Amino acid sequence: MGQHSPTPPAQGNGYGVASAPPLGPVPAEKPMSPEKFAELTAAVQEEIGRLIVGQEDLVRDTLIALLAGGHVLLEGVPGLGKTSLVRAFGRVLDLGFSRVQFTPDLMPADVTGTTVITEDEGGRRFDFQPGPVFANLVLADEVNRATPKVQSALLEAMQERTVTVGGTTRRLPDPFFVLATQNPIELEGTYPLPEAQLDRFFFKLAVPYPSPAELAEIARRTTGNDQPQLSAVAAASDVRAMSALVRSVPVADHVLDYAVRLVSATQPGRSPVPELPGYVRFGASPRAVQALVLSAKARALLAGRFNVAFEDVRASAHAVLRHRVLVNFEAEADGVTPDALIDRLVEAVVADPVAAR
Amino acid sequence: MSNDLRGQHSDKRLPQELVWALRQLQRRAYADRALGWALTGLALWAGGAALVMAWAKFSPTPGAASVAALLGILAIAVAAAGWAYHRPSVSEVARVADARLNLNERLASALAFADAPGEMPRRLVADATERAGEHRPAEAYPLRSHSRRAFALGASAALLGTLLLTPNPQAGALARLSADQAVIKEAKKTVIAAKERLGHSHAGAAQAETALEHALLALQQARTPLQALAALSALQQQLASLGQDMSQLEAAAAAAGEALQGAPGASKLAQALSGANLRAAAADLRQLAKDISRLSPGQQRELAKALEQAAKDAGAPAGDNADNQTGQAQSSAAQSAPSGPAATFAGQLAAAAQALAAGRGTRASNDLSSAADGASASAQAASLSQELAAVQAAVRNAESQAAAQAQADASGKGAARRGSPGPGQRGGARGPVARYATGSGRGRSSGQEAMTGQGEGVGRGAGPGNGSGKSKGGTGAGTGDGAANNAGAGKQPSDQVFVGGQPGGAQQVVGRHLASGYKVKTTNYKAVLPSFERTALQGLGSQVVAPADQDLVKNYFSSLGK
Repeated sequence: MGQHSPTPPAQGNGYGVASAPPLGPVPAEKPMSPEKFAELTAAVQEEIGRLIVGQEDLVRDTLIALLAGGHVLLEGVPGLGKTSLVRAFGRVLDLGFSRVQFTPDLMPADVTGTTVITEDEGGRRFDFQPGPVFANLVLADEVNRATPKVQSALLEAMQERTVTVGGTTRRLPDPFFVLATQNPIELEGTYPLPEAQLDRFFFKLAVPYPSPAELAEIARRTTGNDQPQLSAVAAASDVRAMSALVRSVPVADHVLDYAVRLVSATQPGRSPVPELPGYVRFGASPRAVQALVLSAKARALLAGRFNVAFEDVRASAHAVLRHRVLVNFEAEADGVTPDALIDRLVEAVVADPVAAR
Repeated sequence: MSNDLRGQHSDKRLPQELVWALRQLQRRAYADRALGWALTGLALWAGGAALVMAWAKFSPTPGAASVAALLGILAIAVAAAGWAYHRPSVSEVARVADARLNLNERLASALAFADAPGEMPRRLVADATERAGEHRPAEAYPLRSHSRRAFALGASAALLGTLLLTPNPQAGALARLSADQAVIKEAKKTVIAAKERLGHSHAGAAQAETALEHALLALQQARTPLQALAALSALQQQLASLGQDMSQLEAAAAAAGEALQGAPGASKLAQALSGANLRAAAADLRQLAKDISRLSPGQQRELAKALEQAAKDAGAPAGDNADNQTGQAQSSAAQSAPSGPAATFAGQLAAAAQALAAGRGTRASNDLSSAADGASASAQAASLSQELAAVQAAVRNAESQAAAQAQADASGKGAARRGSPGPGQRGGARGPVARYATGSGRGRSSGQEAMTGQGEGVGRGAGPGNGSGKSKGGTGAGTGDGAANNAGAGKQPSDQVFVGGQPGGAQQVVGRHLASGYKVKTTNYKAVLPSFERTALQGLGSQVVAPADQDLVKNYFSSLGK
């Protein structure tokens, strides 16, 4: 019986990733200049806008999550362009892209990869065949249709950015983003994501219906012979450099304090909103503060500023908190959504008490 | 790079352009905060002063203006302290400017990271100063931000102005209060001056000093002219009593001197006594006591008779059975004579006469020596009497002022004129104050000195000191010629005041507001009834009394006469 020897790096999995190396240090990327950042982000949004009609906010928020190094949960009914959006990002950013359609019979190895016996002149050996998770940009389509076992396989990948198969831990490519989608309807036969996994998503973005004008434009663009062909305007290294720049944006203490107070206010017992404790089971975790500040930094840069403003924090509040504020039965019975509670929180928490005096 | 910005960032080395931008804002912030505190202080002052003034409209409040001024000083002090304590720090200035100029926290962030290394903080400072430079500091601290304070100040000032411009219903009461206090103060000064005068000139005038002490104490507790009047009247009585003793002594000495005319060895004594020269009389009595032994038995008998007559004339009790009494008994009788220096003097003369008649020259000599001592002491007291008279005059003046003010209070006419007594006052007569409810029916009077007033009252009185009645409105009264032309005027239900006096300036016992605990002598109404009746009848003649009530007045005095 053969021993599992250390598996050599895979030579490619067809998702644009050249290899799946074992765990090692990640080289630090030098921050990009703000001007280059502005130029690239504008180009990315413009290029994606050639394919995605409207949805500017969705595109910007997704870009912010990617620049902040976070994963995104996209929620929307079928046909709103979620998959197209993710694919567009993959192309524009020149990132390795893979798509996994989550189904109940999907196995974890179908996501992470597995070791296979290969035979050549030297004999048989075990080779690691990387799964679709070994890509820069992973689209986990209808993630709530897979079993919890498969969903949990994503946990390590999303949080640690590593995959352990056959006793060997392998680093995922950098940058690594998971963009999962889920359908808020047709919940029968689905497996709602556990709270732990929800918390690992940087943003939860709601994909809205396009406006009539946007619908008309969609029809115009997609029913002719000319299909828009997207070109890459940035590379993975650019994304890493942009991420480094985002992290270098300074946050003043009073702005940081606002983010902290906003997150604390989601917790029953600490909230200035009187009705919140009656509707919320659990408030947001510390990851929410991290996400809030990081996304605010990215948003500040996108706005051409070199500092984080209250406005940036407020603008990110819904995307950061809506999947972290866990409402109870009373809220569902009363039709109170997390977004409505977040609106109340933003309204109730004073951004700067000093300036408000 | 200089950096004198106040606040937690003062130890940082800030870029010059950021310092400049923040300093402009901070100066404006200081001025803005100063304006805010000034408006707040003024609004508080105006509001507080308006409250005080409003209160003063409903209740007579002496010194309301002073309280308002004090509130102003307090408000200014609070505002100054508030501004000094709440001056904004540069961090606060930056945050406020960020919020009001829509700088998206640029300034505060730049301030926080100005000394941080790296490209991003440098760009942040440049961006913040550039954006801040697009605005004037006044935009961050606009005047309109004080609109609410200014409105509050305006409203308070308007209210205060309205209150100041509208007449104060309590002005009359305030004037009365002020006049009351002035009268009480004047009375105190009078008593203090009298006390000093007596104290300096007569260290032994203990009785008068005690009376003055008590009066001063009562005046210090007095809150109304009535109370002051009560104190002064009590003092006046006690002073009058002291003066009366001296007068009686002088009268007794004069009578004794007349009786001793021609008595052997007593011619000089008789002359001194007749002239009420007590000091000389004392010396002559001592000389006579020495000379008794030299007189012949016949001269001694003659002198004994003259002394006995002198004692009788001086007011000693009759000595019909004197011969049957022992010297000891006679001496005891002399000592137990009625109190007062005059009675003592007469008793000593009587004892000497009896001893001499009984042939006990030594005893007689001793009694005469005792009389000499008494006369000598009285001689000293005589000068006290003069001082007492002066004090009495001063107290009387204060008393009349207090009475006039009390009357003015009752009439609701404010302050009585003080310091210029009218004709009646000069005549030494003081008529009953109008509120003295002697008489009945409607009264109307006009004052000649203290005040004028009109009122209607229904008063019923049973004579001096016992009047009671009710009044509607104030009562006017005057102290004219002392006649009781105020009789029949109404009085306040709770006040019973009357000031004694009658034509001729004779001393009269003064009744007063009889608070519990006061026990003062009153004058038999028969002593003053003729004067009252004459005045009332004069009033009938001058149509002061309504025709319907004239019979009532006549019948009243007729019944009193019976």
